[in-house]
Amino acid sequence: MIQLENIYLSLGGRPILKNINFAVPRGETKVILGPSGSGKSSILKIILGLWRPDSGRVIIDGRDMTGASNEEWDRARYHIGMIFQEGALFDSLTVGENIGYWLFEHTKMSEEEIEVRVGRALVEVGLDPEILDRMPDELSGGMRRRVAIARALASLEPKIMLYDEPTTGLDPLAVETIIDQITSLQKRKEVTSLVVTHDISDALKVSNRFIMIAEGEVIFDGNSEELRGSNHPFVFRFLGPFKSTLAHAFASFGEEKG
Amino acid sequence: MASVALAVNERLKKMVFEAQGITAFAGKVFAKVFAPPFYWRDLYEQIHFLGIGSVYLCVFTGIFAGQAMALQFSKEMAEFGAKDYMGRIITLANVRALGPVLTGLMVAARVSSGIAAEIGSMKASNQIDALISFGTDPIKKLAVPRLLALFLMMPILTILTDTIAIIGGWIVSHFIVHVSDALYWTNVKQKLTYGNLLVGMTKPFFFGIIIAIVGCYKGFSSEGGTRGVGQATREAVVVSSISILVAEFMMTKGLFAILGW
Ligand SMILES: Nc1ncnc2c1ncn2[C@@H]1O[C@H](COP(=O)(O)OP(=O)(O)OP(=O)(O)O)[C@@H](O)[C@H]1O
Ligand SMILES: [Mg+2]
Repeated sequence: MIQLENIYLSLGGRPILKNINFAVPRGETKVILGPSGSGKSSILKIILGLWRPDSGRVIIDGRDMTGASNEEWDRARYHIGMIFQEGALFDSLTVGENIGYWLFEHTKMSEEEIEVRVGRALVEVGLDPEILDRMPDELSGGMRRRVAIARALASLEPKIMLYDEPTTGLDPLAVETIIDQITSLQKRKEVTSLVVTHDISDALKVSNRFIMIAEGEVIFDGNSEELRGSNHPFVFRFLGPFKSTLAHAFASFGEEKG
Repeated sequence: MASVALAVNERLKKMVFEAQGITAFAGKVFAKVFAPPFYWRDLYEQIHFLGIGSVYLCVFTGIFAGQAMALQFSKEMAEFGAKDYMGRIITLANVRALGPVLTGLMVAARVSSGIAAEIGSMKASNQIDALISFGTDPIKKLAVPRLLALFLMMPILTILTDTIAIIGGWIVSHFIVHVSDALYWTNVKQKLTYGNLLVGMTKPFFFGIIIAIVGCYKGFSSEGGTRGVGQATREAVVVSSISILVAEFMMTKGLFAILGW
């Protein structure tokens, strides 16, 4: 479970997040929507403890992390997988070393054992084992994103997955595979997930629960039907070009669940 | 006039602020040098990349600095009939001051900028955050190995520059000034005294620390994506070079006081 209460954050004297409140119950997936610069990545960095808010409470799996020490955060992060915007692969390490990084650093596993795990994670995200020895800059954007997911999977069992714009800038086919990965992880491992995106059609494919952020504030929290019916002027403007997508997707979403 | 004074004031304030930042950062790094985990592989890689990779710089610096200095001195010394002492003056100048400072400045230009660029771009692409999220302390993983590598390699590189410069001086002495080889090398040996070596070999350790700390600090504190990385790189070279020159002056004074010269 992820819960944020009254989170305020300012960077360099500029307010970035203003009174953020929301929760993602255990095993559920929520999508954070919002325009560029609205504070989406900042929220993920706070959940990961990379940034400490000026005030407010961060509660992860029932534990209040307010004022937690670095060591406590390190322990909490054992169970959080983060897919950074653009992947954030270590560019001085090979794909294999990237995926096995956590196991190599934090376990006493032999290289053979790690290789097996790395290979398995790579297959899970649908990548060819022949890329193991490549460097990250030799991969396409979609492959990098998938390697980043594999890297999170090969670490200790994630209970929480955070995805920062996992589909941005990818072709429709690559988007499809990434979304498959997100949804299969949801089902198989019962992880709590938070997916940041500004693409509504992608958002609808991973969840029916949305939060919309604008200028550091939560302006919407609800499901797709409520989103479509929202009269908030910003939501209305943001959805404008997507209204038909939303209606269409909503219809099909309803059928599937039907 | 007032605006100039104001600008100078701003500059000074920024420098003081920067010095504080670097000192605080250095404290953080030093505190982690002896704390596990140790990243041996990173240390080995950095020794290889920062140290071994700088050998060619030292060879070039040494050979040209040594010869240029020998040429400059040779005319003056010939006028005083003192050209037989070439070996002395070249050894003295190189071992005590020129060798360490030139090596420091060359390595600062190559390595301090490289460190700032590497760490800065890791920061800009979220790799530093990724390290933290995988339970790795970026200071231990990135700063400590670079600090140790430069601390260990700078003295060795300096010895190399010194040696090559003395050989460069010999080339000029032999072929241009026509000093006998035996005389040149006897003079060199005479000036390789305990005191001179102490003065010359203490400094590189500190220059190594300066280069590593400034480079890492600039990298870690870079802001604003790729443009920030460019700025960090530039500032790393400027700040580390100036710091080396200031440290050179202060340490020479200090060491002279200790040795009672
Ligand atoms: N390190 C930082 N220092 C100062 N301001 C920052 C920093 N990082 C982000 N910001 C500012 O915080 C605001 C929110 O940034 P954030 O990265 O959270 O936005 P975002 O919603 O993820 O945007 P995008 O969709 O472009 O990724 C932006 O205005 C940004 O300029
Ligand atoms: Mg973002």
